[in-house]
Amino acid sequence: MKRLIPRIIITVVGTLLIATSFVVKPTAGVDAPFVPRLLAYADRNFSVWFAILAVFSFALGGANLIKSHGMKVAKRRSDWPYSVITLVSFAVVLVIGLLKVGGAPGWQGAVTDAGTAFAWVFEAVYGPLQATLFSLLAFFVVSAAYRSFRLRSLEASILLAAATVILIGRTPLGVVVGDLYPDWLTFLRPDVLSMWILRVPNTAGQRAILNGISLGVVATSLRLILGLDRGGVGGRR
Amino acid sequence: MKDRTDTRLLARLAHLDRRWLYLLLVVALVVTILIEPELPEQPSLFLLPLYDRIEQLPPGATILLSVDYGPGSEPELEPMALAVTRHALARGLPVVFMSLWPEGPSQIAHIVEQVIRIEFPEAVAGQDWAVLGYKAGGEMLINALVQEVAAMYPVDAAGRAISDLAALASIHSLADFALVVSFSGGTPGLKEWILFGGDPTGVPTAGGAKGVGSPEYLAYFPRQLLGLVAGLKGASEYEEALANGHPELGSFPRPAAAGMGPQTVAHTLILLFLVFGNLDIVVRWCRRRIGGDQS
Repeated sequence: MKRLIPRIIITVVGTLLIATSFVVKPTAGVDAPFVPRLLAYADRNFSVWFAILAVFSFALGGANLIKSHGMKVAKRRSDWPYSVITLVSFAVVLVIGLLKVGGAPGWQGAVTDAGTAFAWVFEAVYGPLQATLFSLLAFFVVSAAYRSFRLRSLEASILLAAATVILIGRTPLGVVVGDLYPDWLTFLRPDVLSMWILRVPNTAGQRAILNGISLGVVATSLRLILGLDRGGVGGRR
Repeated sequence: MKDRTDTRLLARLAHLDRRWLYLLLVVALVVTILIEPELPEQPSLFLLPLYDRIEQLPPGATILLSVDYGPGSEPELEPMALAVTRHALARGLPVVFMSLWPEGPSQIAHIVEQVIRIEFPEAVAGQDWAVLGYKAGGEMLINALVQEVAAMYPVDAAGRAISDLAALASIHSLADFALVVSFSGGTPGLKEWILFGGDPTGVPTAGGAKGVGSPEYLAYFPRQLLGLVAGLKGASEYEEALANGHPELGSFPRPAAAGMGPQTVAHTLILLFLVFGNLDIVVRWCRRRIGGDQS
């Protein structure tokens, strides 16, 4: 029963949602036939129900965070002091957010309004921490590019050439360098060439990958709807 | 003897300690930030359809701006969000902000503070602009908006019924917006807006994305994706187009143009390191070809 009910829900919801898009045009209204009316109901309400259910994932995520880091602290596993910081940070932000510390009373105003403690944490702690972390990427990119882009094979050489064109073309340097080219070499300007790389080989590759992924998604969805793939509800695949 | 010295020097250049790379990058970036160079810019063909669309919309047509990023993507995406908001308000188009990301409302607050409060103090909240805020659900939230906006957002972020907001007076579902623009730092973001919002309703959908993420979205350009502001350079191009097209805006802040100097220097430095890294290989290859040296 624990597995049967989720499977029934997946099959019914999946079939109805596919039908709303591909089989019958959903029609609301009392006079409409039963099936189009059912589809209109599903079309209108399933997305809202999903959005409501998605909110509960936050509670689930919070509970999971407390459980996993709590266990780590309790058993004094490696790096457990970091887990203490995680749990304390989680508790502090949760409390000041739920109580809307420093904000307008009751339902008035938002928790993110200027002047609230939550907004201060976002601006003074969360923002700078994320900015610092992402800033470090620049250094890793430089180091990785220096070590990886080597002319060791034809494929690597093509990659290096494309990277060079994009690096120049996607900055104002591309315009400056391009202005030095004679008119008959316009098609080789770094800014023009970089746009060509993005528009033609890149788009062709991206669309091929997208088509492959889409076929995979269709196949997986059908397996789930038909009950052939049971991994998601605790059974064997 | 000299050849051996050259080879050793080239080999050393190809295997520099990474700390030298980091040091050079820091010095180059700090110097460029202090100098603030002004660099030329030309709007690209990915961006122009979005700019032109906003130019052609009749005053009063409402635009939905989805702020789908957090502080990590802020340096690249906020400048374009500021520029598009400024453009819309300069044209008299009401803007409605929402977000698929929990961090979105705080990012929206930045846009409101930096553009609306300072440059358009006469803009009336609820009439010229409105903030719907964040809701969970990602693509299913968009799917729900396709049916009815009020089903997911009965009130705005300030708690006012959206039926009372002039900016949303003519909006029942997503299809009623004149344009949807998603500033996308990842998932959920622009891709979801194209697939679940733009495709089923036909509402023109455009977006802004980080430089590294932009190539992925070009697969949808130009039929499903009206236009794309690609990375900091795209934002800088938008600022340039806006400055040229709307001289009445005066000298507005241009954070993307200011960022292009350091970005250009960083790119140039990477190119220089690529040359260092490959010089050894190229020289050895040339020697083999010319001199028959098999070493």
